[in-house]
Amino acid sequence: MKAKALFVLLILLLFPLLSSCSVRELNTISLVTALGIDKDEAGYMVTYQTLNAKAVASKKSVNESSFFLYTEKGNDLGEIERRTTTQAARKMYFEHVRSVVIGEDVARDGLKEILDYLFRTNEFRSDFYFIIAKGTTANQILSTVTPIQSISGIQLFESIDNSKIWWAPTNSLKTVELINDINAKGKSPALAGVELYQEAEDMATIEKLKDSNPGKLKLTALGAFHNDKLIGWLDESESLALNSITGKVKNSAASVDYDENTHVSLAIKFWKTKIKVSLSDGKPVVNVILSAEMSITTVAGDVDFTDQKKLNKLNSITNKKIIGICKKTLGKAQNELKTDIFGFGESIHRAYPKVWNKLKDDWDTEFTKLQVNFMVDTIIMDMGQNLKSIINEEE
Amino acid sequence: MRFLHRKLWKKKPESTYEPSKTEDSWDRNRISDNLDVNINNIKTEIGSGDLIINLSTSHPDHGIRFACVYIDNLISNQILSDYSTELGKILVSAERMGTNNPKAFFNLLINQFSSFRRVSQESRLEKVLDGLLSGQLVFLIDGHSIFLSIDAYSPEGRSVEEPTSQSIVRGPKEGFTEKLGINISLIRKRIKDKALKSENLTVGNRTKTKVTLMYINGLAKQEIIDEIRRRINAIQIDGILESGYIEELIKDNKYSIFPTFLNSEKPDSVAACLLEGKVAILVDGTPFVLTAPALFAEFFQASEDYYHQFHISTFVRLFRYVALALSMFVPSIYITLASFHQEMIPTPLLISMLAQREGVPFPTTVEVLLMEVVFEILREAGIRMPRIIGPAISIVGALVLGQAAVEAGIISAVIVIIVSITAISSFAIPNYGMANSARIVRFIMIFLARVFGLFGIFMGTLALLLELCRLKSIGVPYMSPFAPKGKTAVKDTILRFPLWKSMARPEGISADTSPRVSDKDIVTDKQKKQSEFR
Repeated sequence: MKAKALFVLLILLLFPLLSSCSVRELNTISLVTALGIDKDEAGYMVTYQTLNAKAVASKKSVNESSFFLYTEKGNDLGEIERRTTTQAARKMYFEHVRSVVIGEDVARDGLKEILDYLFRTNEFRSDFYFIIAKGTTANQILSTVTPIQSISGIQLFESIDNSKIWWAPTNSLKTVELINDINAKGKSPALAGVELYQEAEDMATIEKLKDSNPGKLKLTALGAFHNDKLIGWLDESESLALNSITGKVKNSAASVDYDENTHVSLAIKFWKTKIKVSLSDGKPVVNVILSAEMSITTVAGDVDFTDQKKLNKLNSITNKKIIGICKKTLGKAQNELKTDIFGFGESIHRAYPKVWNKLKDDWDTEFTKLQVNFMVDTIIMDMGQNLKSIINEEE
Repeated sequence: MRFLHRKLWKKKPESTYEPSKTEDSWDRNRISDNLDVNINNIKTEIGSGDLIINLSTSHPDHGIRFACVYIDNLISNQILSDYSTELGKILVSAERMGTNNPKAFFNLLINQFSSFRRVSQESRLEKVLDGLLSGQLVFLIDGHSIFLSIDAYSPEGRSVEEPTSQSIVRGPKEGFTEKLGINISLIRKRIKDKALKSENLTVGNRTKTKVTLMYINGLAKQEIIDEIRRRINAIQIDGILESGYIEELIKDNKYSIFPTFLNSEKPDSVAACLLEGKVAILVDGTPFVLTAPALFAEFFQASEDYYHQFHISTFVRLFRYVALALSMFVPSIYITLASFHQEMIPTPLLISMLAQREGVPFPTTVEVLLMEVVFEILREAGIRMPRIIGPAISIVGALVLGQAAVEAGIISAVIVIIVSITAISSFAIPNYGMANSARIVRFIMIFLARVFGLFGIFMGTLALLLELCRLKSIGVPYMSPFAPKGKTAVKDTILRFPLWKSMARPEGISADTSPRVSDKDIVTDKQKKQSEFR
């Protein structure tokens, strides 16, 4: 009994020796909030945006930037990561990366290597967004000090999360979704772009936050990919159409002209997308059924929409407009970009696997010939807090 | 290794308890009929300064010599003066009757005293000595070889006061005292049932402490009563000074850190236990009464739960379990998160934790251990120190150790919060013994967390659950009615069902599991439809 107890005690005393290597104290790591990947002659130039916790959360006011950038060049992403230790005091810690900004050049060359690195390395989680730096470099984007949330990496993440809910045209993908979209034969990804807005000289200093209207970052519309390569940009209405066809719209705003004098803006409150595939002459036909609930937010003009006929007319105008945008976007994807960013191939695969098997190897050309029908059914649920125009001109 | 082996396996001498005995003597059991011889014998046997021997005669000239022997301070002055008046009356009647025969005088004494006190006749010196030491008044009569002992034990002690260890808002505020008799009466007062039995046992070879078992015949399981009685009778020890001695000696799993006896200072909660068919163990000299069998869930019940509405009682009980979990796991979870699994912390929280850790010299585990140990010391100091310097300790504790340590940058502010949460949580557990167990578990968990991270905590929790399921209290599984599952007893565990719903007495403990509350509606639907009283 006594011997057993002593033996157990000895083993217990050995335990603390086990752990020392895997412990990672908080003040020995450097929290990376965002990664920027640009093209360079050597291969890649990677920007690590690391948090300066002292400046962000300390009670004492520290007159330092809330983040610091470390930039390293090289051919190999893993090697670049290790090489940062020659600059940085602490080990880079990637579990809390909020966004990965990819330079436009790199995106046009393809993301395969980057994705492999981010997915394979166990220190990266898969809950950050991919964003394309449009018309600028990722380094430039990450060096920007942004108002309110001064760390641009976190600001981008939060602003995508927010605008995805309230302003449909922006959306972005996280690692697993992006990899799935790239791997899927019948679908190509689309990622959000970001650009400098109100560009100024001191974008990278905290001093500029003393200005009430400092330079900012702005999410732009989506960049369309073919497999892992960026091939073109959509504009705002095209991005909205893309997101509404893929069913990613939650809330948004739309505006229509009722007649020459009356302009109506609508808030989209509810959106539902159904994609049905049918066959005609052995060829698949995709029917996209969009249904939405909207409410009127502004009426510029004096049309009384309590009149059901006028409301019906407004409905049909709205439907036509939506169909128009969708068709335009489809046309761009089929003729100009030649990439199935809508994922119609996936829908055909699900509905008619046998037909898909014949099509899949040559889907890129088949997609350009695909027939797509749009059906839109919108309901205007309410007219806001007042039924008629508040300024009554007739009396 | 062989050397170790030899050393460790060396047989150690079997030590068995033998109470040291006073030298066995001659005719100690027989009492002589000579008063002087008897007095001498008592003097040599006890020979203490507080032995009082009052010699007297029934009549100044021709009376019978007798002596009244007792030990000072075991008998209150009030009772002594009562006896002296009574004795005066006896002497008067003896003289009137002209009693000259010692036997007749003895009978007169018995007659007179037995009407209001417990009186016994003893002819063995050993018994008389025991009686004297436990507060009996002994009469010796010259020429008669039988002693008369009268039970007059009434030492000074506290009166019934509010219990200090279990305070309440609503409910009876009486607490047990150090006197066994008063404690029994406090329970009797609440249960006026003829089936309420009390059994007297004596434990401790030198202290000869009175221990009383109380139970309700028919509700308590006979095998549980027998087992408790057997265990207490089997105790061989010099002294029992508190019920904790008994608890430790008769515990089922003697190495376990969890208490398997419930102790209470409150007669109402002991009465409630008796009504559930449990057995109460009252020990003379302590206000803490043990009840057994005690189940895990009982340590989270307060008597007040039943005096308030069931909604709030259930609500509060849930928080007690949460408090147990917090007091066991918070520091260890903090350690794992801060030094292994930073990815599990939400980013904004991690940023603020990072800022606090900047410039702190110690590793997280050292910080936590430092503050936990300081808190334990502070707590111990708070209990043991003289009352007057209490405020000084709280200033030192709150300001110096909390605020100043953080501001000096020796520890991070989160640690103070962590330690405070654990401390407050451990005070929210109604039973002090259970809170103490949680303290031990907390430190084990800190160790496991440092060594194995979250995996260690998981394994520790598993071991904890296994341990809890292994334990027994007087043969009853500790985790019942969760494991093994009980149907009706569950109603009064994590949730407190309304009284009219938790009808049956707990199965497994009570011998009689018939309903204890009628489920008939007192306020019927018919009455609800009646017009209002106006």
